[in-house]
Amino acid sequence: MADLMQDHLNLDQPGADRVEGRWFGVGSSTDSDGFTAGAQATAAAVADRPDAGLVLVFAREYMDMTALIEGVRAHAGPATKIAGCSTVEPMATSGEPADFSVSVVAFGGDGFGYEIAVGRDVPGNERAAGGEAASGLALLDHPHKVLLLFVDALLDDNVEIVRGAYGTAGAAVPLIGGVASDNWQFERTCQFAGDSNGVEILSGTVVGVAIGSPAPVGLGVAHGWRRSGDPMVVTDSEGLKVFEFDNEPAMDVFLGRMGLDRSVLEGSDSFRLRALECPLGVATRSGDEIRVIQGLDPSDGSVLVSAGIPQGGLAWVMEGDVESLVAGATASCADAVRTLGDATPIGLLTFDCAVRRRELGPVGVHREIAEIGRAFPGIPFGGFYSYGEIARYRGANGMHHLTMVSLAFA
Amino acid sequence: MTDQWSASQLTEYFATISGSDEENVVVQLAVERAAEVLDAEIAAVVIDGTVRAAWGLGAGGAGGELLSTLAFARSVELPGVGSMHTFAARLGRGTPDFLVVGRRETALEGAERQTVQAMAQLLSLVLRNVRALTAERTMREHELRLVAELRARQRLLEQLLTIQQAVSARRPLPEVLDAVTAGAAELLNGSSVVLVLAEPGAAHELAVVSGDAGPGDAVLDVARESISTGSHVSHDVPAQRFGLIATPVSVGGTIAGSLVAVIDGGAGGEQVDLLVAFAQQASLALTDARTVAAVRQAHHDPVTGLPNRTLFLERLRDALAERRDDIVLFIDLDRFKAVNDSLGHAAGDELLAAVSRRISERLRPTDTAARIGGDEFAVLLRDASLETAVAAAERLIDSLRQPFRIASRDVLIGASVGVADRCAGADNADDLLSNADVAMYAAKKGGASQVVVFEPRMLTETVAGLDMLADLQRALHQDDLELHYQPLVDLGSLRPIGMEGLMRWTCPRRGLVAPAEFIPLAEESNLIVELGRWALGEGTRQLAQWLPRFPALRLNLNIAPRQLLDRDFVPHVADVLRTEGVPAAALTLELTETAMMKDPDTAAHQMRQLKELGVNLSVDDFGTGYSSLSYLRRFPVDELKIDRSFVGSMNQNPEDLAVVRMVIELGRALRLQTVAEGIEDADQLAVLRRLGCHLGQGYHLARPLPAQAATKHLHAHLNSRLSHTARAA
Repeated sequence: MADLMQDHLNLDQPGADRVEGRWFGVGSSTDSDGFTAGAQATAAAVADRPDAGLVLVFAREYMDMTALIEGVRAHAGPATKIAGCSTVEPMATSGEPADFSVSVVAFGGDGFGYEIAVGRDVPGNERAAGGEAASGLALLDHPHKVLLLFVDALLDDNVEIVRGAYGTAGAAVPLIGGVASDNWQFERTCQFAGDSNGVEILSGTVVGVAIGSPAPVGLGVAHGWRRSGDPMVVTDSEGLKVFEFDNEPAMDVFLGRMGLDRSVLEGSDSFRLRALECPLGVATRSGDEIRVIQGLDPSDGSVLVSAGIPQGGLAWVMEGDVESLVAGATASCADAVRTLGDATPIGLLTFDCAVRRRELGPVGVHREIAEIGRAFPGIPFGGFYSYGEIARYRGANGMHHLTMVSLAFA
Repeated sequence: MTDQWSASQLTEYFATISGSDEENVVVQLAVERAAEVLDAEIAAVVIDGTVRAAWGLGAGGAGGELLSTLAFARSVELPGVGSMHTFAARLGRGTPDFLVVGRRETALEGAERQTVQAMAQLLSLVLRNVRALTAERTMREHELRLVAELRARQRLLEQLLTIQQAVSARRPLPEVLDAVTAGAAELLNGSSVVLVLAEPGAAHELAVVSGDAGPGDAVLDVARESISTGSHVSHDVPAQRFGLIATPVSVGGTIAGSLVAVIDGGAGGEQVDLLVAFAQQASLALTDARTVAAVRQAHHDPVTGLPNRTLFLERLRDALAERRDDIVLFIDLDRFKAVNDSLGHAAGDELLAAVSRRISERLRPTDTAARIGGDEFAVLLRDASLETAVAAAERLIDSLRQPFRIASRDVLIGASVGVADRCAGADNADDLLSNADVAMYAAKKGGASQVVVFEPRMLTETVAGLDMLADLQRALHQDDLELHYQPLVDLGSLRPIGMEGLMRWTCPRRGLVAPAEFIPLAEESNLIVELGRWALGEGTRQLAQWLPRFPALRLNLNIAPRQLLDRDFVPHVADVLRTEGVPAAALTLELTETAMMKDPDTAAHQMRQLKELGVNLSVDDFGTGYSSLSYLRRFPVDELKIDRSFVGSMNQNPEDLAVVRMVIELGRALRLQTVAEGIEDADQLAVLRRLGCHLGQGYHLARPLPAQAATKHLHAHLNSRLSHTARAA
């Protein structure tokens, strides 16, 4: 079977050689048949190494997930743990991301440890679900640990889920991950959790993958957006609603900054997607945090943002172009590698925002992938474009937007 | 910039930690939010040397103890996390408790440390509040237990005192005798106590005149023995695990009966002494009533000749003991009080007698009608189904709605009837009668002349109502109430000329509670008076802030019937106006027609006094009540508010339009201002302007607004007038 498929394989660079027995591989497939795509990408990521321990699968939302997982299991190895989620577009080391139907990241060799746990029945129970997803950490006694989180996009309170995971993980364990995506429909995303013997294809859950390693892991966060125009002081806000910037109705100020008026709100949905590309940056201690504009409410003149901005906060309308966004991606990976210290990187997990991908366009995405490859030659990377990014290695906050987060393994 | 970021989040931090009234939740929220605001990995609250909440230490919580001892060091080495820069702030001056924050990368800057200090202060405030609340709750529970015990003892003393007072005040004999048996029963820990009297002229015939007979024959036997021996007798009945004590009761020195107690487990000497004491009370009362025959008579109501409550309950007990399917009707007369008040007590008694005749005429010989008290009657329908009972109740109501000829006038009354049977969880006579009473109350709430069958949920609703009243009482003291202000608009210029204050209640447990839910409940109790006082204070305080800027502004406030009739009301209004420095003419009090008609003389007196103060008076919901010209002349009112129900449908319903036109013209004729309530669209507004209505309010003009937004509204609408005037000039 493997021989028969060899012709179709799009073999990615297998990455650095084993480091102290550990390895990291990435594969992808452009095939639209579920089984074939899963099998091809997994075979490429595992590359005949007999000791794969964990396989992460990121598949386009339209794929036949059952068949795809069957394909993955066929090549993952006998006792391999399997996790992942659906996405608007997978990421992988080489090739044209626009063509990918699935990407697979495989970990293996001595020294790594893996535990998968699922937080279920999440609505109203976010905190506990986050904690449950992190529960695998307790089963690992490695000197370095990290928790990956894959969260359903239709769950309302991601911040509380991440808080729950942090409560269990604590400051010693970095968190990273992404919110599963679909093709901008916001209708259904799925998460995977299981092993070679069987994988659950889930919805409405948070999947946590605890990874233990003898070597450090490094985490990077960057977005590439820059401030545009004068700062605006939030003079009235409550929860996720900003009512006033500089004592004027927030909606009018925001539209004014974009050169638009209220008439754009009538009718189509296109303004909502356009607003996604004009985020707000909020000046915080750790730099400009991005807030996605989720809507405008003409009835009270407010702007609905992805996370609260307290009264007295300072905000900017942010802008980005292909140059700055690509630079953001490489900066994120560079940060991750830098925080490894002297350890040699063997691979990178990358979770990039789906809005950044829209803004980049196919050419920009091609450049993004090429620039990361150029900056870290021979280091495989893989992941997916998400509806929200999770990364915490300092402080206690872990939810990000319009950002690229990456994790380097050594 | 960063300083501003963390400081600007204090409000949200405060709002978050004050959202709970449980100490554990408060401290946990505090550590989480503190870490997030300061971009720190770790935070902990240490109280009495113990880590009460920690964040960022993971599921195991390792390192917490280290934080509790080393927090005031500048850094701490935490296992698995590494070296942390720490900063601790005390929870209030001089306490050993603190909030500590740990950050890995950089030490906290000056302003960030200030933020932690502020967070600690806020946390200490919230904790103090929570503890006070918890202490109050615990204390209240403890106090409630103590109070319950004290109350029980006090009731006993009162019972004895009441018996003595009742005897000297010549209270009706059955009342005194019931007090004797109930008091003895209570003192004997709920044992059953019965007073048995010999029938006049037939000493061997005994009758239970008060109390629950329990094991009937055994009681009568022991009573007979104590009467014949002239001394107390006690028997244990081990097979049935109870004891019997009987002690003689005499009338004018002659033994005429016996007081018998059925004691669970067996009788003791102390209990005999107690029973003897109560038997003496009974003897005193009976002697005072002179003859045992008076007792028999006293089982009937002298006004109507019907059995009274005691006899009714006795018959009901018999029915229950015989397991008959009897049904209880509880009848309350509507408007009886008005007749009694206006025509006098003699006419009232005459009416009651006539009512009792009409009731009796419509019953079968086997049924029992009784006068329970005041204008309340009860009927025991023997062996009836619920359907036939409801039909009988409806027939009774129909007959009572026919005019009565009393004191040479035709008097119209009505009745509300509650129906209860033994199936709805009542296994004794008192409960069954009480269930019928609860159902009658539900009938009365539903409107006049209704029949309602008891359902267990009615009891639950009664309890829920009491629960809500308790929350409302708390709300008064916890700032959970708020006044919102709905602009009153001049329909000529379309500018606001005043505000109506409307109460809003956000209960921490129930969320926003609609006024329609809590106002009627408060009106049933005296709480409405306190609510009204609060609204008056709050509203005039706000008005005092507005007046310097908007000197012509007026404030309208609603006054409940109880408030108007409260004798302290007028001095209180005067006091509040003086304190806030608000001219009386700027205040308009809105009264409903019902409020005025409840006790017209007192109402008119109070209203005249309010007018003397200079306060304006408005009739709210005009058109829905009596709406008679005579009372408009009798009461000194300045304004009529046309009820929203007419305004809402006047453009569809010509009759409603006619009412609106009539009220406006009436206002014009009597030189009263007219206000239209509930204007919801432009068509209604146009019609009201054309008809010459002076003022209006409603969602089409402006919704009720919180004080701050109301101020903005006034600025927006009254300042633009100024600029408009200026331009015109």
